[in-house]
Amino acid sequence: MKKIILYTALVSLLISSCSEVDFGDTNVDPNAPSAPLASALLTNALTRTEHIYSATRPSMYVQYLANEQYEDESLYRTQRFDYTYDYVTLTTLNKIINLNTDPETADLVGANQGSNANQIAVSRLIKAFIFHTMTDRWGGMLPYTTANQGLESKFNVFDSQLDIYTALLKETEDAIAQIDSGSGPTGDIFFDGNMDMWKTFGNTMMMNMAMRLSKKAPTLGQEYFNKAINGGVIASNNENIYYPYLASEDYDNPWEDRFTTRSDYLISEPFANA
Amino acid sequence: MRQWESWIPSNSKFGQSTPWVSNGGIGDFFNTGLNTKHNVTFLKGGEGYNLKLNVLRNDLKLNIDNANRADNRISFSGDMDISPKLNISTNVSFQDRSTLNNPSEGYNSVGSNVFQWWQAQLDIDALKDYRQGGNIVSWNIKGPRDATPPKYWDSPYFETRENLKHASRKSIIGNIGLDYKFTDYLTAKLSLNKTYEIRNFDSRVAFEGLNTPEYRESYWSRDRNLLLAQLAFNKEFGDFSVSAIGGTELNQLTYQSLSSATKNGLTIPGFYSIETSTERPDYNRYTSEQKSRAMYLTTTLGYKNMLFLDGSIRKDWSSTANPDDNSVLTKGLTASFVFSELLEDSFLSYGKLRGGIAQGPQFPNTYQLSETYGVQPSYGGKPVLSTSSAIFNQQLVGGVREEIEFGTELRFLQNRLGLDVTYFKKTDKNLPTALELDATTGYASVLVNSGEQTYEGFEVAISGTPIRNDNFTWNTSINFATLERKVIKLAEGLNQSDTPFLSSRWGGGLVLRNEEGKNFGEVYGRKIKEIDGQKVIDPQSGTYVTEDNQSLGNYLPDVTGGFINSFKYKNLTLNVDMDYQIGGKYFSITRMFINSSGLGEATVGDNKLGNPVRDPLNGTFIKNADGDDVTDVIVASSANANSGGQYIEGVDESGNQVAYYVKNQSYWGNQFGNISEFLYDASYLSVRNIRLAYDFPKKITDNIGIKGLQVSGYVNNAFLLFSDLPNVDPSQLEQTDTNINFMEGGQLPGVRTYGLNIKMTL
Repeated sequence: MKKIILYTALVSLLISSCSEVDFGDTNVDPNAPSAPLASALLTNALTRTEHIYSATRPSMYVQYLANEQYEDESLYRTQRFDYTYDYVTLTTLNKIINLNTDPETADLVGANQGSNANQIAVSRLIKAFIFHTMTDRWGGMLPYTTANQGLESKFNVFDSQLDIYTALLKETEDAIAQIDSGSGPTGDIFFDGNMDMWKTFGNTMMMNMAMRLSKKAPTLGQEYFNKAINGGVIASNNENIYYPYLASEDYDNPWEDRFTTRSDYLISEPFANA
Repeated sequence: MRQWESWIPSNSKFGQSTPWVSNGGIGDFFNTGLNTKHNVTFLKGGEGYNLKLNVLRNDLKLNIDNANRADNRISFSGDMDISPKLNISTNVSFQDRSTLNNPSEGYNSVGSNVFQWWQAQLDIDALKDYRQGGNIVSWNIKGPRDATPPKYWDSPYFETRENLKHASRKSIIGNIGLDYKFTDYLTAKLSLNKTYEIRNFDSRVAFEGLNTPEYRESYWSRDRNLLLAQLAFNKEFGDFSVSAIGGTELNQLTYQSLSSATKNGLTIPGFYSIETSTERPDYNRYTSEQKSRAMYLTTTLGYKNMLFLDGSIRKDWSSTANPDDNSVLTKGLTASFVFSELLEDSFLSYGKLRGGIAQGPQFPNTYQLSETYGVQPSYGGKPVLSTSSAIFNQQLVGGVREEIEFGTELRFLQNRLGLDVTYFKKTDKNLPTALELDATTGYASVLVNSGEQTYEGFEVAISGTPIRNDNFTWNTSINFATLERKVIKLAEGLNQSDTPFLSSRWGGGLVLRNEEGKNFGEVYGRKIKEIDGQKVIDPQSGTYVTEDNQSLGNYLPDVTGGFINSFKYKNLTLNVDMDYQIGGKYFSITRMFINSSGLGEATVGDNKLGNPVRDPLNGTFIKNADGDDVTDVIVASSANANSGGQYIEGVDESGNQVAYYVKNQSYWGNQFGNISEFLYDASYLSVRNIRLAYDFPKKITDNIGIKGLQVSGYVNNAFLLFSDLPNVDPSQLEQTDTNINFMEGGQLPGVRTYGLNIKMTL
């Protein structure tokens, strides 16, 4: 009997004192790359702005189109929007900036995917562009200063729209200034790495933002409007900037899909008779 | 009325008007299914060996058109003594199952078509003829000059006969075991177990229907290997008995899947394959592997078959946890005391008290520790990678589930009456969980070891034999269980977490909320505002005033249980099993849709004035804020005797009594999204199974030269005696992604099965 108790105690001790087991690479995910590729992240972030251009509501609100059977949008009923998607895109853009800033990765990333400065500048311009469209939609009900810090800041405060625009104007100006003579990002599907076009994009966006301030903060608005004009904005139709849709189903224009089997949208009377 | 067929030029009813009458609903869409089962077992045993072979064939024809399943299973088990001390045994089972058109439920399925978007005048048989004049036709035409393709729905028979879905599953489960007897009290065991399963699926969206043709196929396999070695000791020392089992386990689990789908259509009409995809098809491969190990020791001490003490210790290791901390040590201790051994000649025939604590490990899933980037379709040849919306956590380790249990088992009057009572409390602590993050952090979730939840309740069973004599026996048992599931802690800095259930488009959303200090699974959603129990109505629109994000109860039932009876008269046995549930809630999307679309029973009938609710309003319209008439609401007091409409009464925001008649269609249209109105009580009482069996007397079986013959008839899902919605069994709600059965939407009806069973022993 005593022996049994002794053995039990010994085996229990043995079990509890066993150390960790080395399972080697078993838990390394073979299904997806664990190393990021900055150019691929940029292409992804740019395609993730697509929903901004193809949103249905603007066409309803200006009465180009009207809903057919499901008329909530046409009738200006309360619409709910989720900003998760956009904040996740901003995380992707931050990742590109980190890869180009971190001394451990910057050299490699800057060697053949566009200059570090230009990759950062493009990421910053797109970040500003996304926030620009977000604050137009949500106003000041939007965290900006403390946003996108992961667990560092779990509950973020809303910034006023004026503060957001003031910060975005400065950010845009700085991003344009950061553009250097090195090559443009290889993941750029908007302008194929043409940094002059990114300057035009940045200045035109800055001009649009400045216009938003023409009543609320006219002095600031005017200052940045002039900066934008001096920097060079789109001056004619043939300089228009388009989102580059592909024919492939993966990156095609969603308006085509909306009419493949359904007809939820019709030309509105005010537009047809205009 | 010119109905849909009258707009199809090749139809015999083209151009004709037919009476607009109800065709008896959708009952005709469902057939009577048939399930045939054959089961044969062969047994043979002798000196030092035993063999068993079982062959089973199960054919199931479902009550949905063109849906069936065939199941074949062969299992073999055998063992033999190699020497007096060494025994070798094996079990092998092979299963082969194939399914055609496993019926789909939920939004956009056949179920949601016939239950949510239907028209009562449709002739079900006419829909079988979905190919007319070279076109695929449907009842759901866009318009008189635009009969094909349909607007939103193909014919349900196009769905069941053209959009075919095949599934097959083949599996092998087997083991080999060696038992070695050192002495009569010390034995060793070594066993190798393997489970291998392959599934294949394919499905098509057929040509010429509403949607772009598509073909998908996938393959999925799972391979599990377990090696187990243990040493068992079992000996008695006078009044004491000791048994100890110590052992180790090695586990390996591998998944693999390949799936592909065509993109943007198929190129060869009538032919379905991945190769004929219009664009480069989607292709997805996933593989995962996890390994785990364990060592354990369980020791049981007994005294005079009366007192038992059982202690265990176990350590588990898993490849899925942080490599620096990948083990979890768990312990258990239980004691039981058969106190009736001390009593003599008592009305108590057996009495036992037991209590204990047990723990179990819970490890993270595979590949949750380090970040990977999502591969997206290439953009015209350019690579595309996405970042994860979840924050990965290198520190993720295993957590512990703990269960404390106290109970008693009592038998009285020579076991004629029994009472079992158990109290349990389970605690989940620091299990690996995905916590939702506010999106402004740039992430949607993070994986952490956090949180604490408890499950507490009683299980009570009373069983007895009220009647027992030579010819007749009645055994009965009633049981119930309570469960209180509480959220003690979520995570640092987080005291509330929502699981969304309904898209916010449908009425501001419906969520199950977990809040610290409250019960698990509180339902929140849009509710009609009330003042002192009276519904608030806006006098300028005649609609109910609603408030979002309101507490609407808890989805979990308070009590669940069963009532089981068995009557035996001579060779005849009758079993009647019932089960029930008290409390809990579920949400019916079907109700919300059918009432807003006018299919529901609630949308017909007479109003307070005795007029059909669908009749036009006749009275004074209310005025909106601009002073214009609201043409679908009249003031109730102004209603003429012949007015139709739904009568509503309540108070305005200041508490003044108001009453209106609202145009039926507007009334139900406005109710859409009012979550509180379509939430139902999940209490029910069901006679689940009835079975009547007759054992032929030995005299007869002997005469025909067999050992036994039993014939029985049974009914499964016999009667739903009580439920809030008369046609929904809350115990059979469809499964959602979250594994929480809480919603019903386009669910197919429950199936009552009648069966006949013949069992022959040769």
